[in-house]
Amino acid sequence: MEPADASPPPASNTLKSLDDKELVQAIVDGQGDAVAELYDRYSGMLTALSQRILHDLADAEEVLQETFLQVWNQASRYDPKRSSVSTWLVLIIRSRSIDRLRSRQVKLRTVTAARQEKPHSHTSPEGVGNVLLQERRRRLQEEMAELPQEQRQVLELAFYGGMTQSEIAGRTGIPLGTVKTRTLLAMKKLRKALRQEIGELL
Amino acid sequence: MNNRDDNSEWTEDRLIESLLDSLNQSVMPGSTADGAESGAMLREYTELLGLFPYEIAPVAPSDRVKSQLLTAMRREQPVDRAADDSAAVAARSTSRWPRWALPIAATVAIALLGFFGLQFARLEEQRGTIERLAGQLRETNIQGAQLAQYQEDLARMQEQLKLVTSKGVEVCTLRPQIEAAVETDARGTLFVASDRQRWYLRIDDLEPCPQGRSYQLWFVTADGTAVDGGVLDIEHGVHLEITSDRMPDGTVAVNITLEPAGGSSEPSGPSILYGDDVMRIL
Repeated sequence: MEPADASPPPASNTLKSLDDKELVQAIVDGQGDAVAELYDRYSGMLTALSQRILHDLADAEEVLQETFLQVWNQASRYDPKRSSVSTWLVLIIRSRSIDRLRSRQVKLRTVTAARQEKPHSHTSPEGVGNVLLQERRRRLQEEMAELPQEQRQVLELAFYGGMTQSEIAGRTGIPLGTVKTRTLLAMKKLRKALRQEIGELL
Repeated sequence: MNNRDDNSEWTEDRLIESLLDSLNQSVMPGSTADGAESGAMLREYTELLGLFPYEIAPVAPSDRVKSQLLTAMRREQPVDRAADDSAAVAARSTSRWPRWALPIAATVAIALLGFFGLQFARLEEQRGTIERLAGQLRETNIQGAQLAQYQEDLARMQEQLKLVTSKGVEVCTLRPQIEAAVETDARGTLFVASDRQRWYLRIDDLEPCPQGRSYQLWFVTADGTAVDGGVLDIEHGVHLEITSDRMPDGTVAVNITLEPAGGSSEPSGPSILYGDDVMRIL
């Protein structure tokens, strides 16, 4: 008989101790539980992002499920040199949400109005309860609030609205050159302001 | 600002623009940066984009999303997992069915499908033939029955013709009686053979019998007795033909009355047609 302390820890506890990249590798190795762990870590943030784009929780949940199915099926495509796992997930679900938004042919003029709605706040044990994430959110909110409204507007239309700079110019009536300038200024400013948070992801 | 700063800023601007362009093309950023410095910068901007959603308060999806996800994962096999995945190899090696079994099973299934399809088509064809033959048989039977009916009718008509053209035949016309209780346009003709036994009665335009009543034929003898000749089966007002080999002796008149349904033992209702004017025509 093996000694009691020689038995391996439960798989879920083992997975919780893994960082994101190790989890992705576990998924590549066929561990479905690793997907569940990754889901627990990021589903709250990803659902919020998708809902922000789609303005529909049911649609956002569908996209969330599709996103993690893609992770399960294509985890080997993740390249740690290009992005962190969380950014990889963000870009996947954003892309899928934008695709769905376009397929629904939702008129972009409704986006601004709907965006004024305060997002539903739900508890997410792995999100809200995480001090690091709370601090990250506070910092993002601070820095976004520091941006001039016109710079923030073009960034949001690009990221959450899936619009090209030409489309933003057409949508807002702002000259294309001005849209580009505002976008570049906003991005550079945020990069400087959030250098610490970016560094945490690298 | 010197040229080096200008170039660096220009590069940074192009990186940001290419990064934002790549977002709209649904491709992962990172393939457009040349050099380590540009690569690092692009990576920082990529992570900056990844930070954006942290601004939003998280939204917990419903529990069913996770359970559905796990169910879907069990159904789907990862498509581009490494081919040399040891777990997959082990699973394949311990699999009960060899790889060639599926194509063979599919081929057999297709062959069986084709075979049963052919059999089904043949059965359908045979069923069609059977139905066609049954139809012809039914038609033949119908035609046979019609032929028998025609033959019977022809025989009766020949008999009637023989009677009405026989030597010594007497003819009696039946009409409504003057001041009859029931008005009618009906007319009748009675042919009586010379033996005064065989007779043939034809009645036209007699109205359908009222509900609960019957037309009844009476032979009236010289002493005034009415002998029951039977209830006439007239329902639809068409012409009626009756042939018989028996007529009461001493018949001098014929009467058709309207009686209670099923007839009476003696005339009780109004006379509809009456004939006593016998004429020998041949």
